[in-house]
Amino acid sequence: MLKQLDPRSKFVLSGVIATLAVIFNHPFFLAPILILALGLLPFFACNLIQVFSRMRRLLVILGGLVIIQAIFYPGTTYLFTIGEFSFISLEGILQGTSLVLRLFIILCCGLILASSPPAVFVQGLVAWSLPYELAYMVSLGIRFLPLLREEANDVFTALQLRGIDLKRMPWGQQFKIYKSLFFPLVTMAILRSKQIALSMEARAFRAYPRRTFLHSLRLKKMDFTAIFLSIFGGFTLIILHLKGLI
Amino acid sequence: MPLIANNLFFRFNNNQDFLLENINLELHRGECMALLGENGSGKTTLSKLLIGILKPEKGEISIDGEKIRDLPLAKIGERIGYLFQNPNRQLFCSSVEEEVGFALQFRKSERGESEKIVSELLGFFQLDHLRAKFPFTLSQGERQRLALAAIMALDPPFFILDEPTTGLDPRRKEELFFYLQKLLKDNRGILLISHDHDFACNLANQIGELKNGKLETGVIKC
Ligand SMILES: Nc1ncnc2c1ncn2[C@@H]1O[C@H](COP(=O)(O)OP(=O)(O)OP(=O)(O)O)[C@@H](O)[C@H]1O
Ligand SMILES: [Mg+2]
Repeated sequence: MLKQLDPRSKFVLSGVIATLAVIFNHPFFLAPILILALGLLPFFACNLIQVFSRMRRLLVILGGLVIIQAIFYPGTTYLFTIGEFSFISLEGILQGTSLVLRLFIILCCGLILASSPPAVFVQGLVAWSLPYELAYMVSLGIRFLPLLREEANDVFTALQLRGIDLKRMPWGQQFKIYKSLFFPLVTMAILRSKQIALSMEARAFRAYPRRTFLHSLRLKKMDFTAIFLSIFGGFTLIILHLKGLI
Repeated sequence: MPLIANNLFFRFNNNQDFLLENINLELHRGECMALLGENGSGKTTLSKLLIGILKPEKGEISIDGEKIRDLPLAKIGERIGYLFQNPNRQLFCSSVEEEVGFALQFRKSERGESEKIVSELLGFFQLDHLRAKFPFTLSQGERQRLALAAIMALDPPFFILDEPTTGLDPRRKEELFFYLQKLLKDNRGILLISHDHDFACNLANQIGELKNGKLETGVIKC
């Protein structure tokens, strides 16, 4: 399973794919890259259907982007003309499609990276000599968000249990409640993060310049293969593209 | 009319064993049932099922003949006062006073009536001097008392208290004991979750223990 790959291999793989997505511009090239990326995802134990159903709203926004690009992008070949105004250029449609394909490719790269737990991820960053405080902060941020959401959920449950039916309240009162919650919730979050920082220091975080990890990371054969294949494949495509062959 | 749970089955994950199996209980007004059990035995989970935060996989819970499943949380909150195991999770206002009065400010009541209730509760729970403080800067025991005061404001007929004695000093614990006794005399029903064997035994007229997913009554003797 590719999910077991070292986080560094995942970095390289998704980095190469993202680079390709930026260098190539035409949907003809971007589409196969996206297909490749999507094809890889199941090997990283990523449930595509679940991911996309969670992002329905984002999909709608992306659709909107294509349409806006198509309408306003200046081009030469127009599909519609009303009086002096021309609408929907071929170039616009291409541009919009490329944009969306690109966003999807980058999203796939994100999903590939997310297939490692945050802790392993940090270790990968540190192995590449990124200061571990920084790396740790990144992963803490990732972990902190669900925590905050859970706490906010609890507060809303408690709120309803105090006899307040938000759904059936007039807008004005709802707004008043949200407004009154804002300050305490933010303060809570700040106190909470201070607490985490303190308890990290209490457990000797940052007391020594170097640290060890519970499980050590080692690149395996599979990792070298994956890194080699992605760099080799990426370079070949880019060089062919620069020479104008594709 | 009582709070009744019938043949409850619950698990967090569909491919695990049931955390709670075939739970039956009946809580009447004027009665206190104590719920004991080891850490992780599912006491908090059962209490969340009873007030509708979690939904059972099988079985039915009703209060006064109405199914909990069909009631919005706000309506349940008017009938059951729920004290979270962690008081931090249920405090969300910017001052102690506001916290206690929160539930009251959104219902129709006579002018000055809310103030009177808030003052009474603050007085009883000895939070008067802390009126203007931000709830999160209170001490653990003060927060526990504040959370209690906040749910008392709606004056519901039933209470589910998840370890109300944690963090209370002996004097405060005794006072809480007398307060709960008074509630019972006023015909309120209380489900008390606790690790405090003596406290539970002295207050409750029914003792249940959660063990391996089952609720056993009459096993623990006082
Ligand atoms: N949201 C959740 N998702 C998955 N498992 C959970 C969740 N909440 C609790 N559990 C698990 O369910 C079991 C029962 O938890 P519960 O909080 O009901 O125990 P408890 O009897 O209240 O324990 P304590 O005496 O420590 O308060 C525990 O093993 C816990 O890990
Ligand atoms: Mg508990």
